[in-house]
Amino acid sequence: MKNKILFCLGIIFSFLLTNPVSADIVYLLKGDEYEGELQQIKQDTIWFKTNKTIEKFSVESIVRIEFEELHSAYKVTDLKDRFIDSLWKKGADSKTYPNALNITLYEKIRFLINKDSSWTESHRKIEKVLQPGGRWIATKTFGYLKNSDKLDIKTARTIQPDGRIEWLKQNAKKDESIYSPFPMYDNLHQIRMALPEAKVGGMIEVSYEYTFPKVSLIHPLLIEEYFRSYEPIEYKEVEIVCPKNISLEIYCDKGISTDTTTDKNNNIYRFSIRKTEEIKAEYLLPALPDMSPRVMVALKGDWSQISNQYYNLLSEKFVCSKELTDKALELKTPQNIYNFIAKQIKAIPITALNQYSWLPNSPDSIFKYKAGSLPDRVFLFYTMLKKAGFENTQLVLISELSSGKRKSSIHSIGQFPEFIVCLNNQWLLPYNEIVAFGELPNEYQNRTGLLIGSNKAEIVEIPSLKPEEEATQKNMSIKLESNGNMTVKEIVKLFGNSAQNFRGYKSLKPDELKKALEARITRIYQGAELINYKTSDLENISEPVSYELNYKFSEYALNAGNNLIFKLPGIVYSAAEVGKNTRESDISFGRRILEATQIEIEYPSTYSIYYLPQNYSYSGVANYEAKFTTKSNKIIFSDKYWLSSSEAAQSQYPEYKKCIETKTKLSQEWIALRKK
Amino acid sequence: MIKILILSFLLSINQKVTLKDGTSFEDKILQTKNSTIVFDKNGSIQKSLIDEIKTIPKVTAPKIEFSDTIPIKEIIKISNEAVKKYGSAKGIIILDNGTNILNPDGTQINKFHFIGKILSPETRSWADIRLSFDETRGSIKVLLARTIHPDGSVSWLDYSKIKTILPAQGMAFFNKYKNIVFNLPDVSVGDIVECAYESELLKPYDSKQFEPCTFFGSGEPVIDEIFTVILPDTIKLNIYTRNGAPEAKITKEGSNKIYTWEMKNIPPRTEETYMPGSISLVPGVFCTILHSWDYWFDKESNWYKERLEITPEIKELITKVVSDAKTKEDSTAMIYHWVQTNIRYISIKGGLASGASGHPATATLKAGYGDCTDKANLLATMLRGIGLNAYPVTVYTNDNGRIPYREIPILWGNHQIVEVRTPKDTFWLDPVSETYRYPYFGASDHGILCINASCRSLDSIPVPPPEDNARNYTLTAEIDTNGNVMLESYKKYTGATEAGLREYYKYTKEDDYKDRFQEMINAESPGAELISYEVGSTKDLMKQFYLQWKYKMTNYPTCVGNLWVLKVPEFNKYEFPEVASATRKYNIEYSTSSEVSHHSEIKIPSIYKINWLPPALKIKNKYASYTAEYTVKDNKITFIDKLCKYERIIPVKDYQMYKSFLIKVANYSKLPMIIQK
Repeated sequence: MKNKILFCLGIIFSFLLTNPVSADIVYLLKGDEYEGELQQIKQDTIWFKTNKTIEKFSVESIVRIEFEELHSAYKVTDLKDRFIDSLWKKGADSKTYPNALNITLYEKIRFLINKDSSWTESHRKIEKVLQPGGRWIATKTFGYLKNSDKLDIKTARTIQPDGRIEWLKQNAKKDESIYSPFPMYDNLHQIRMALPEAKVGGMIEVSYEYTFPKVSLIHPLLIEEYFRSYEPIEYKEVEIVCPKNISLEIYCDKGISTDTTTDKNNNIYRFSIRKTEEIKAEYLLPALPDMSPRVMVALKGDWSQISNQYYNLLSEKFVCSKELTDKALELKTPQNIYNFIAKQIKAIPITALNQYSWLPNSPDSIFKYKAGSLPDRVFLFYTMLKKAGFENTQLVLISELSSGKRKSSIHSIGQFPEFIVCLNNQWLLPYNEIVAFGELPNEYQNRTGLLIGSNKAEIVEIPSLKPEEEATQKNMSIKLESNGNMTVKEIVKLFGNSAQNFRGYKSLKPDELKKALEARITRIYQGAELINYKTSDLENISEPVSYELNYKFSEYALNAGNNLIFKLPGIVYSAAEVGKNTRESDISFGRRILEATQIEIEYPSTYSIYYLPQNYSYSGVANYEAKFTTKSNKIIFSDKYWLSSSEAAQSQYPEYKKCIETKTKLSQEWIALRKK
Repeated sequence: MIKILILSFLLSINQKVTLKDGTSFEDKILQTKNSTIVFDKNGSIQKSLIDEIKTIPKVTAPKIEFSDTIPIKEIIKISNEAVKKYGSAKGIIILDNGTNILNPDGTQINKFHFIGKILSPETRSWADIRLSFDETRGSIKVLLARTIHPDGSVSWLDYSKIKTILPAQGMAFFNKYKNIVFNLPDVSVGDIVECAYESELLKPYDSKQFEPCTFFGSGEPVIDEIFTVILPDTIKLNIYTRNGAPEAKITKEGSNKIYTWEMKNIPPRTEETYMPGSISLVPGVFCTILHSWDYWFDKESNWYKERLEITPEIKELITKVVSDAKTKEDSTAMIYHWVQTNIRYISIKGGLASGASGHPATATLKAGYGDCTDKANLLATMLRGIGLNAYPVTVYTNDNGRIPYREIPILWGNHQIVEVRTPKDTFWLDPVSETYRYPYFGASDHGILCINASCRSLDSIPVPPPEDNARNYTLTAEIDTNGNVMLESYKKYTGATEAGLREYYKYTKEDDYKDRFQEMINAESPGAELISYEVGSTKDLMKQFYLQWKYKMTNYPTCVGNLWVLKVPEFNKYEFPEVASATRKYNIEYSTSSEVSHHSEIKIPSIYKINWLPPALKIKNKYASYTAEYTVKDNKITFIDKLCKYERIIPVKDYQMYKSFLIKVANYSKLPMIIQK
């Protein structure tokens, strides 16, 4: 009887199972997997319906069952959503936007600030694939801090041109740790997903919601939204709902429509834009925030209060062990302390506080652990300087170049998620073991920052390093023979980011370093032969970086009748980056540089100079000088290229173009000697 | 939609339940009531709220006592002696000891013991341990983890700091492997790090899949490397060694046979450009308990029977895709192109079956995405739909080294493609890319073996001829008396080069093409002015990809007195970084063969005559050939050259000869023309 009932139930279940079939997946011990729908489990046996039949498995043979979410709509008409319907029927297409790979049809972000200042951030975004190259938008990632934030994916689907809806499958979604190799920093996670069937003409829709805790210094509120991107946007809206008793500071660029309303308890601010053009791909683009109209919002505050409160929070961590204090005193000088941290405290590749915690780890813990994120190492550096008696050391919060220019009218610590130290007007950042004392990576030059702990509440400027601090200086002595052979002695001195790049060779074995240097000289001339070389001690970051190469070329100069013709070795410049006649965006060089070369060529006394290129000179936002002189049977060439600023306005592009083209023309010149 | 289920679970192992909100717990399922599942401790939960239920094997105590700790004094002594010999190294591996055990019940245990001396900041990463495992199949136990300081003091790992984490992967990859992670404490340069762990595979996919292998050596010197395999003496171990790997020492213990290989004082491996994958170079030991490919052939070919079904949807799709085809070859091409461009690359691996042989073709079609195994299944199925004998085949791509498939049946592959057998010939197609024009396929598949389980064969994929990976440039130019040049340039491509360029332009907006060309010609000659351009289709893979443009340059030649010195426009010097070094240790390995040719016609003003032209050059060896010639007729200079590299691999013994050849080619390409008024 029992069996009959169960049998009947089984029949009933199969009738109840109508389309669409769920996509549960069962994984078996032996490695097979089946997609279908779990029907029944009874007495250690599972019945599982696939598209062909009903499979039977023992429970013991199963490793995992994944349950697919059931949805009520599998066609766009099932949604009964006029808005979606209109986008699907009449939304933008590749005729309206022939150049775009994909487009944002609609994006709305709603910030709801609660009375206790906790807040939620709800997103809804609908995009369309216009070209095959635009399908990448179907793979998405959303980051969050697992210890404090909550992220909920509400909707994730694609709507095909024929109206079919494909929902995100659970096995194409993963909640993963970004910094998993470093457990002590394991806080930043992301949900990554691959939406199915992203075809040209199809729409991708996602909606998700973040929940954040109460606003505080360690959970700051900073709303920063950009209204332009590398693909066009049809419509974007940001809505901020804020209780009337909470004051906000708002920055809004021109071109964004604004609207303010109220309801019983809240002020409601809306910012929107329609039909923005995409940002054009160009060389040397500024950071996205600087190319895009933006809205920035924070709770009303002031820098003095933020600075002092943050300093107070940090001050609990200034209590250090005797061991750490003794070490600081033993090291004595700022350079020694810097070198100790750069070399002995391993750099964990996490650069910002907001990637794990706004409060750094205690200096003692990093000192003991001998490894730390960049903010933790900077904080350790600051603490050790103080302990060593450098009372005028200042700790500054800063942001990287990619964050764009900051707005001092928006008082949120969220604008500055990294640390840097200032000592006697010198900016110091023990970035890793190849960045020397006083050097600064590009990303941290020409920035603003917030001084911590000062009663003046200062927003400070971190300037770009001077060109001579970012220089490459090359000297070549060349002997040219009448058969065209050349012997070269090349001495190069490197400063700043160039020095850091060369210092990276320290990880090479002697054989590998030799091959790397051989590769350098063969770029000048394929048959170049390295005779010997020496480099400065690349492990020692206190020592300036330089190297000397001695090499030779066979038949570098062309023997053409009575003429010996050649180009200046190693002078190869390109004007590719200034190929366009005009430019849309400003120019960001990242840093001010200086490149200086001097080449002395001793030629055979049986020859005289038949042709030397003219001297070149250009000055403006970029500067270039090249000069040829002669002395006895020597040609002396020197050139110098330098940037006066780390950025230039779009209107200055023509002069930059002219400078680079001048430089390139010089490098294409030939020198001709003629037999006497 | 509501489903009604009756569930009852009787479990002897733990069940881990993960809900869709990310929370999880372990519990036993009692039954279901309506659409809820009833648990023993956690009450009833709606089935729609559950993400997955998985069985977790019970974690047991380590099977192996960790008794082979070397005394600290001894470790320090060994490391000090090693530093005398290898002091300039970034680190020294004192001990690398791996043991692989196959139990009679088919479960496996692997034990690893590592000791390393840190000599520079680079090797501090040896203290960061990440161990990957599948929690539904096994476990990992950390047996020992410590830092030994030069004075003999020890910092022990605080085991509470060990975390189990789901790590981030590349954008296209979704699997369920977790990592056990921890960082050894207090590590400074000069310290020794030591770690030992045991990984237990309690629920292997297949008891026959026991394939322990090792590759001796490292990028740093190794003092002692030991590799041990233990299995029941009733099972015969199949062994293959190469590149000077030692012979095994074979002993017996109880009912087990123990095979041990050991190498001492292994010098560090150095890197070179264009070197072979390291597994091809170093001493290697490959083991399996299989003695022929039959087992894998049977297993995989059975999987493929299910996966390559031509369903009605697939039939309908095939009809639609080949509707304009005039020949069978056209149909093949259209299907190949369709799978490439319509199935996006996303890799979702759940088990051995999907891992080794992919998802059914119909599932991949529905999802609109898949990885190499999935795309190969779909392509093979669709090609079968037009009557071709098409088979998914497993390969190990040539950029990773060579697996000795012919010598030993181990199922190691990192990619799948499709083999098509016709009465005339056999050819291969790789649908993973999005831009390969038929009949070309991925360069990393060239010159390797493939495993065709369905046909029960190991087949060699040849290196295609150079014209199958060609860049052919045609140019006409006219120079006026002011040195201004009007040029028309046409470039066409085949093979991997064509696919790469098509991909670049596919992801570049059409509006930006003009800017890109303007930049290219400005690199050629500052101030050059683009007049017109044309780009081949990025979407229609039936058409060969090409670039064409017309532009003018001003003051192109360098005036040297009454001479003009100039190079053939767009004939950029050849560069061969693979022969930059005076000597080489390893073979040169390219991904495939290649060809570059130029055909340029330059008309000079009638008042000018030729002063000097580079003499013709024709050189050849068994690996490559180069011909180049300048001819003149009626004030028109014609330059024609062709460089062909026939072989993928240039043995190191022929390096000097090959280097000398390429230097001649490179230096020839720098030579200018000199014309005179």
